Amino acid sequence: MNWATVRSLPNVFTPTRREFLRAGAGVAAGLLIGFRIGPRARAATPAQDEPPSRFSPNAFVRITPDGKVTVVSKFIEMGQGVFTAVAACVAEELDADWADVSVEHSPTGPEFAHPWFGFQMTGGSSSVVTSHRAMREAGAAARAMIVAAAAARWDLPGESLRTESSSVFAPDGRRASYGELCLAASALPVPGAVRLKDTSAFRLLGQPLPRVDSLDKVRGRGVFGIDVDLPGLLTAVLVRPPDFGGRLKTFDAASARLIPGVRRIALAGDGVAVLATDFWSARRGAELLRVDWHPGPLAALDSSTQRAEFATRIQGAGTVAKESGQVEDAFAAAPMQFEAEYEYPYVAHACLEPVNATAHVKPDGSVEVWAPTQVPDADRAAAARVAGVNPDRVALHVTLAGGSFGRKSGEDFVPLAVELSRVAGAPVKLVWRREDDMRGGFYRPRTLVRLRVGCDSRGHPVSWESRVASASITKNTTFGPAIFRDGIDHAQIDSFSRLSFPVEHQRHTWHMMPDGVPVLAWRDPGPVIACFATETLLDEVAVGSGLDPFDCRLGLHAHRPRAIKVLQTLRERSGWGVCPPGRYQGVAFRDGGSTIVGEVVELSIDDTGEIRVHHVTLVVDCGFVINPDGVRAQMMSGVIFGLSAALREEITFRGGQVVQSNFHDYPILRLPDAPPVDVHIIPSDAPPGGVGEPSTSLIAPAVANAVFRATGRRLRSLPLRSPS
Amino acid sequence: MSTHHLTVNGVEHTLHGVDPSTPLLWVLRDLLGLKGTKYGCGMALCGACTVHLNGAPVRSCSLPIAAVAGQRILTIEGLSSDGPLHRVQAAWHELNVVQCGYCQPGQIMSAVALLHQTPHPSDAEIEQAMAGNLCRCGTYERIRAAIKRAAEPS
Repeated sequence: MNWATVRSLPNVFTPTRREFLRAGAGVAAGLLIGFRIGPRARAATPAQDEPPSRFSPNAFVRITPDGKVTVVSKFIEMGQGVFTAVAACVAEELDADWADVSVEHSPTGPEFAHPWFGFQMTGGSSSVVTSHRAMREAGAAARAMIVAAAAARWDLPGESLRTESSSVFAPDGRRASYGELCLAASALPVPGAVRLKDTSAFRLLGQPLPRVDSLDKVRGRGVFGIDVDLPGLLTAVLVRPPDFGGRLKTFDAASARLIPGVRRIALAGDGVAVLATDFWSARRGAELLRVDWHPGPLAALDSSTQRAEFATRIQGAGTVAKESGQVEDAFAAAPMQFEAEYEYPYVAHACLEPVNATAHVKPDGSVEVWAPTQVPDADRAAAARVAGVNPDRVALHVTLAGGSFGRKSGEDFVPLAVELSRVAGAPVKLVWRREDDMRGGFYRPRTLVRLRVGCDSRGHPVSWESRVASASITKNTTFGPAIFRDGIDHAQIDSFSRLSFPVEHQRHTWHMMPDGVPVLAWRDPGPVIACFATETLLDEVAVGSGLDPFDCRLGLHAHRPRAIKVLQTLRERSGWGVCPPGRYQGVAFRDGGSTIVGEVVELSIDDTGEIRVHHVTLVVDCGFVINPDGVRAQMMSGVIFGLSAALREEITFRGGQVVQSNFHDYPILRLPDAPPVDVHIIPSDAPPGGVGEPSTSLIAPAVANAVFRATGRRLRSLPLRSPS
Repeated sequence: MSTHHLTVNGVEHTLHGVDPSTPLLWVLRDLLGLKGTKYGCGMALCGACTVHLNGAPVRSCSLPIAAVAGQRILTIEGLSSDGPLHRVQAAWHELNVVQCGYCQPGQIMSAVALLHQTPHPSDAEIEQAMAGNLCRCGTYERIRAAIKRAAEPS
């Protein structure tokens, strides 16, 4: 058995009888107690008490006699640092020694549901936002029981005892470690209510912390989905139609079967898979498959002619998402009028770890799945459907993800792996080649936007109209019922319709393109489209009304002290208005409510028109900061991710096929072209806001605004290409 | 199909029945179970598969096993085994470089090779040496800082 699978896969939690009884004793307010009660757990429950080997007061923390503290995260670690943030919340209240803390991903189960959706998911920059309090309570409950165990052992009142760094201290100098006390603690009742620390008492929260996953990852020991290994595992490569919607006609596997490692050929989804003892054999086999396809409805798709379809759609009435006042009259009467169209290509997520999933449909019908998924409940349900069993017979293990940015919420990869395992009668790991990943969808959708804004003579918008033409990213997903309502994809239109400043006359319409090319949420899905349009348009408004872009935004956000603070800090820290000859600055800003971000770029343009960003200044107010280093890392990450797409990336079609296939024709930003990002965090006591995504959306408009200052030309389509 | 001998992380291996065109990457991952070296592109464009061949950084996805017969290979697993971190890994850890971490073994192997060749690299030398290693999470700024940290005299 490969060390990687033995060491790092999360264990399915099977409660002992004592823990089982405790669950029935009532769940106190604010304290989560969760157990998987399924056939496997029942079988493991013994007839009489068995001595506990660990302390698990709830589903989120576990302490073992060796002193190790394991935090259970219901969110996938895909680089955003959620394991570290969640662990910090638990460890703070627990008073654990940070060096003893490790994190694993939870099993599936109702106790791990996201409160916004009722199912388990990671995304929307909402993990810490929605769980920090519950994680603190989980840690506080564990601490209370450890203290009670020490109090009983020493015959002292619990209030006289102090905790720090995984130890309990008595006033008389006696001490005991959590490892020594944890089994005694596991015999005690879980407290009904817990008191949380005052922020002034924090030792971990608010401090930069070493990431809990750093050591494993620098040693190359992190187990990503693609690294999963099992006895008897077959690796599969799936050959799919060259155009979306194409269908299999015939195939000839005679040459493929000659590759020594190839074990079988199987159909799955719309394609033909080669299953082999190892990836290279599967890949060689796939290259030798001769396949004929029936062209589908998109077989003639061409990016240059596709534009006309969007232009036609955006002319129509669309579906009104929000409306107030009389936008037509107000625009007609406005002394200053601005109208522009903005174009966005399909872009890929292009995670370094390509899409993959491993499944084992066993002889008894039960199923085990390993996948780097953002939507474990949806994937588990799909696995159950494909295998023809109840979901409670599917154990889904979430691995690390080598990047996701939304792609690994596609709900597409797990069912295909399950189908292949079902057919093969063996565990199967399905791996997308880079070419499959680049050409197989699901993309950020191609979008056409039209903004029409009327301003009064002071440059204040009095009418604001947005039209957004795009296919829906949530309609066909597990998020559909929550987000796609009344024919409107709120993930895409709300970033337009929820302006952060008051405008009396508004209309925002959604012009839905038909399904076709598979599309999905891509980092900061709504704002990454909306902010490019609104922040470049506001720059036009500022210029047109003779206002400095900062003054323009300060005026619009006069009602928002937190926004004012971010803007003023950004103006000061960026050295706005002062830059060397040949360099130009641009600003973009977003008040997202709980997280407010502003960015200033400084760039130059060479004779060939190539845009080079030299520096980014970023100011963020994200409410109370759980981990400032994590905030900095995510702010920097979003900027580089967004900048790469803004300057370089597009997925295009010719003859129904995706043109791009690998990193030579889909060039993502490299180290020499990555600017330094100076991040300034505004201290705040407001509730924590999300940080995984918000910096992504501002870099493209900031760059476009700087390009205007350099060239006098407005760039309104992505990727940004300056005229030379 | 043939027999190949190679030394990986100081351990000698004899591989039977392996197609000579099999890239070293897949020998490491699938035949030797060393999963630390990653697959990102298969075309030497992303650097995730970087290992050392006789001390020099190479993209193992594009190196057929027949070409590495009898040579010394070092992977991320061999950089420190279970012992103390290599000073480059230590710098990566101190500066919290990793995010998703998938590209980082390749980044680290490229950085180790750079510092071995050029103990105090300039910004331009860092850029040239590291341009072949993609990071989608955008950790580049911290990679630069970690290389400089590792280059400092201890």
